[in-house]
Amino acid sequence: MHMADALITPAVGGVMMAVSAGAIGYSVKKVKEELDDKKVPLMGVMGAFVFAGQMINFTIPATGSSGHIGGGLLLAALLGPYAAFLVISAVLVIQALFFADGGLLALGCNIFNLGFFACFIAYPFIYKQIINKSFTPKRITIGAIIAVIAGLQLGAFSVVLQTLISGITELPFASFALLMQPIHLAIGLIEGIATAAVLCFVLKSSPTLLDGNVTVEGESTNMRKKTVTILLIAALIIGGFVSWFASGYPDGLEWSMERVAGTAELEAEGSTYHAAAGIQENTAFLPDYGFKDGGESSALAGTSVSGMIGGGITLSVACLAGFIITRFRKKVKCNECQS
Amino acid sequence: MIHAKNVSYTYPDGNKALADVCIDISEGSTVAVVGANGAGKSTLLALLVGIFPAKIGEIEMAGIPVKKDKLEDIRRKVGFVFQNPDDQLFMASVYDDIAFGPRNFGCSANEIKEMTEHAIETMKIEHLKNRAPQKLSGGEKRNVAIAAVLAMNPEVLLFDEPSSFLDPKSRRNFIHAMAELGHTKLIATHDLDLVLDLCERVIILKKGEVYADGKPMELFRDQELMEAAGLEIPLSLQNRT
Amino acid sequence: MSKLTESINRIQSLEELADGKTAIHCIHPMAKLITTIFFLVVVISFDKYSISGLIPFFTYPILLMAFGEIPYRSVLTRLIVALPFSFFAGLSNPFFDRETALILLGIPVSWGILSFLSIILKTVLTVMAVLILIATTSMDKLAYQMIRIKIPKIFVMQIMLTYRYLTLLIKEASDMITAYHLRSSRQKGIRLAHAGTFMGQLLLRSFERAEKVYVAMKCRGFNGEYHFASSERMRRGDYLYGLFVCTAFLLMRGINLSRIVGSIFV
Repeated sequence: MHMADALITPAVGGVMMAVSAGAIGYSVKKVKEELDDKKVPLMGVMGAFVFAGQMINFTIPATGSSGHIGGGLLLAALLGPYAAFLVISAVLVIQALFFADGGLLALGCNIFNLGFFACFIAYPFIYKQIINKSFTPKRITIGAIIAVIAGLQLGAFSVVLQTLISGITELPFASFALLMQPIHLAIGLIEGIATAAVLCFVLKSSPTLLDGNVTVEGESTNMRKKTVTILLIAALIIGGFVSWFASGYPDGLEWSMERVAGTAELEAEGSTYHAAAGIQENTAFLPDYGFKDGGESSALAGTSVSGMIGGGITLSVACLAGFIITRFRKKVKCNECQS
Repeated sequence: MIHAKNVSYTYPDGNKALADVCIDISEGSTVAVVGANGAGKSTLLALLVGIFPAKIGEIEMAGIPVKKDKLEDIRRKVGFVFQNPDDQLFMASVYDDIAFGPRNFGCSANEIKEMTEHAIETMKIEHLKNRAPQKLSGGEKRNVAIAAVLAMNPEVLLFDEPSSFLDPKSRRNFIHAMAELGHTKLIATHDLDLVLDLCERVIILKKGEVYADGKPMELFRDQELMEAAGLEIPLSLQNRT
Repeated sequence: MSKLTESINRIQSLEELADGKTAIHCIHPMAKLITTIFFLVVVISFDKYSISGLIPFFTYPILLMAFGEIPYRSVLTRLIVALPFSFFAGLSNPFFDRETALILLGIPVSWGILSFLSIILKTVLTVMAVLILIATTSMDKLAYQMIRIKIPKIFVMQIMLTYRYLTLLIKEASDMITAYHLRSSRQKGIRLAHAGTFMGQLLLRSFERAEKVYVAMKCRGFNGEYHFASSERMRRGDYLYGLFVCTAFLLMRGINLSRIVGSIFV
């Protein structure tokens, strides 16, 4: 669910960048305050750990489904939320640069979606509340699974909002949300189980590593339980509302199904075939819709035709220039080698 | 230069690592510490540079007592070369890694450059300067790690298993490079042939105690002593038929 | 496992490219960073139906790849990996926005198709620009520029450390997976039931490594503060490059070159 540059506007990218930069600045301050100079090397290596960990897929036998550990909550449980947020951000920077996973301008969005919710919402308000200072495997498991799911749901919802506000895609809110939320429920479940398993392993083998400084807030256990219940109810209401809203828009469902069919076809037939088929399909819809205004649209078409042709020529010239430069440089090199 | 008196160390988990160890090493000499796994070699090195605090016994390095408030001075005088260079080279470029020490000592930009360049020259690694540590071979990494330590101008060098991760040729190069360094050197190793090549003295540890101390040629030939210490006579000294 | 080795290869091939010595590699990293970000902003600032306006921007990646001696293939293969998300997010446009925008050679083209194509073009351009940046500038140089633009040192150090230990940990993980598969040849993948022990082991090893790294830092006088050399100054050529490229982007943003070239022929 890495956001790409092409799907956002500069304004959305800029605002999210500012928000994330603020969160990073605050986290740096907090980490510095701890005065534990051991932390930075640990954070660095943990970043590499999360990076490697996210590439290892675990399978559920006989189901064909698989997933990997999530970074945010695991790190928050081990290093505390501020250090964890910095680690996740660093991982996202490297992913954007080397793997084109999420764009550079969308970095702010991605840090917010994947780091902020896990470290500053799911960890303190769900995981910590459920653990409630008693580190038992049961509590850790329940806490990790619920927290990971909640974090991912919020992140996915944030992706939907950012896409929507940018308005680059035509995806209606309801259908996009309806597609994103359930998928991330499934992903979150596996991620949560894997995260819980790792935390339980740590609890067994070296419990001191778990971030134990759960602050006592003078609340009774009841209060905490209430918080969790309220959060869960809120999640259910929002979920219910979204699906009700979505069901009111048959267009959205129709689209979802078309999309799902499209994906299946793509996988079956290969991309070129599908792309061609897609264009055919889409053009076939068109006769149903009338033109806005004959004169206007043909004028627009006229300029656009010249735009297309011009674009084609520009692109060819650029490619040709690139080709010539490459060729020329190779020749120069060969000459250098010979002389 | 290296002076340890009645040093004992017990790990927090109750594991006794060193018992009443006394060592005296004079300036400019190259001494090896050998012993079976778990004999206490690494612990000894860690104590000498203050990674673990020596609670029992006294240690003095280059005239400075190894105590908590003196650690910064100790670390300028004592260079520690880790067993695994990947643990030691943590910066993104070789040059930055070598300059890490000098920069921490608050030297001026010119001094930092001079110290770094000098160390690079000493280890003959000019060609690696701008490379990233993760792209180097085992031998290159070892040389860079040594340069990183030399850049701090230490008087004493401690090596933990320096010939591990090296292929035979890099190992040979390493031995040549070592022979040219005039520092006081203490080398903890399993590589007894390296000891024969480099060290005039060897300390054999057994279960945390100094079991023997003397010339490598003499000690290594003593089959009984070697077996008792859990060691093997080096191949070059074995009479093969 | 292949995913792990593949990612190592990817990092290493980009690193090798960044070691090049071409004119593009020699440009000050700050100039390259600024022009890249400027390029991204200008490209995504185009409205959602722009196509012809975006095409002239291909000049930038194409020329940079040519001058920087970056093989086209390596950038293109990476593009394919990055495309799917935008592709699927954009795929809905032709379905929802079916109103005809223009008729091209007798075929009616809807607004949705235009905006879909625009998304694809933007994706290709932005991904190419970032890949070219990293293929012509090494990570440590970029990190220095981050410090220069006042990104907190702790954060930059962290990025550098993550980057440094990335390949090492991926290799470690890949060795563990190989060992796992050698002893469980019948099943595919690693069972979720083993996730705890498997990742836990890797985690504990990482903690040990971090401990050693910290000791190594301490042994070389580290006292909580990270020091970096002041980075090289920008020369006149670097300023000129930045100015020239950014102006070119602005011109291309303001003037639709495609349309002008096209109108000569149509």
